[in-house]
Amino acid sequence: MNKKYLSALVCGFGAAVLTTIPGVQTIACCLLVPVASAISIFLYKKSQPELIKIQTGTGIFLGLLTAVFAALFASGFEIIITYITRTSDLVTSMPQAEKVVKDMNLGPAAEESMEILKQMVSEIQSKGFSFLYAFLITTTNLITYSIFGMLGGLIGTAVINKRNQSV
Amino acid sequence: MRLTEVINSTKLIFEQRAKISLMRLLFLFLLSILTIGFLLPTITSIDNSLSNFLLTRVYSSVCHQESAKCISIGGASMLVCARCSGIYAGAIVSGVFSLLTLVRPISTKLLILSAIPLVIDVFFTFTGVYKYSQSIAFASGLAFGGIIYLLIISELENLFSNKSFKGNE
Repeated sequence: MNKKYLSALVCGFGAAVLTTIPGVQTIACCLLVPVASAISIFLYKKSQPELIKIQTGTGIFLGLLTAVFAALFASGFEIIITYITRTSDLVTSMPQAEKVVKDMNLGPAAEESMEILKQMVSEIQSKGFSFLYAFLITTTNLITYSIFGMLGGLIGTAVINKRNQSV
Repeated sequence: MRLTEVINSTKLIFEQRAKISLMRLLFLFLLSILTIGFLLPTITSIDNSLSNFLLTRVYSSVCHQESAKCISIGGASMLVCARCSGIYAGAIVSGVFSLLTLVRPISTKLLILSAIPLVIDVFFTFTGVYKYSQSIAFASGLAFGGIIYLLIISELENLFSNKSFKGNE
């Protein structure tokens, strides 16, 4: 396997595992994926000793790749956990959302979206899986992780290149 | 002959400067979209449960969103915690300044220095030395966000100008 993909796969998997551990995100916050991307670049650099400096474009690509792997693994873990427990953050927040829609009388659009959410909740509670829910969490994870992964890749490349310059 | 050389190099400098300014403006615009996204519940009431769920989900993957740690305005909470808000705010401020001035290359030391207040605050609140404070968390993120933004900008400029930091791959 290409070393680029391997370091991204390892770090993406690591980041995804960490996101599922309660409390870790409280400390790491938005730094989890960028740090994973930076580590992936570091590992890539380590695996190729002849490499003196990493191109910024390569750094961004590695960051993106790490983020995509992290998003896919994190979504997969969440889908599995939802399947086993038959509950998710959507199910727990549903009564509150329903109350808000009822109290504020937000109109037909709000009720329609509420119906979609209700359908997802009932599918999760009965079968443990909702295709729409799985699709939505994977898409949102891919979008956010990709942005932060690329930024992490960019910063990681800068830090690693500067470190090599000073050595 | 010399005059044409001077004119050409001046043209080149202006073209490069225009490219850099445009890139900075574009990046600041993208950052503003990201910032408006988490501010949305405080700016306007989202009357659609599905969009509310999606927006919360987008930011939940990069922030824990603990309600006690999120800044509230008029009863509505932001979608990221006070520390993350500080990081974004610092980035926006340095983004605006970077449009007006030249950006010097950011050293790793400066990056580490800017992260120290943030790390200290996380460590102290986690170990219980003092209670979590939204204002301290916000302030600790400001410098880090600003420096990170400048580092990203200078790296992007390197990427587009393709002058330095060219790897040997």
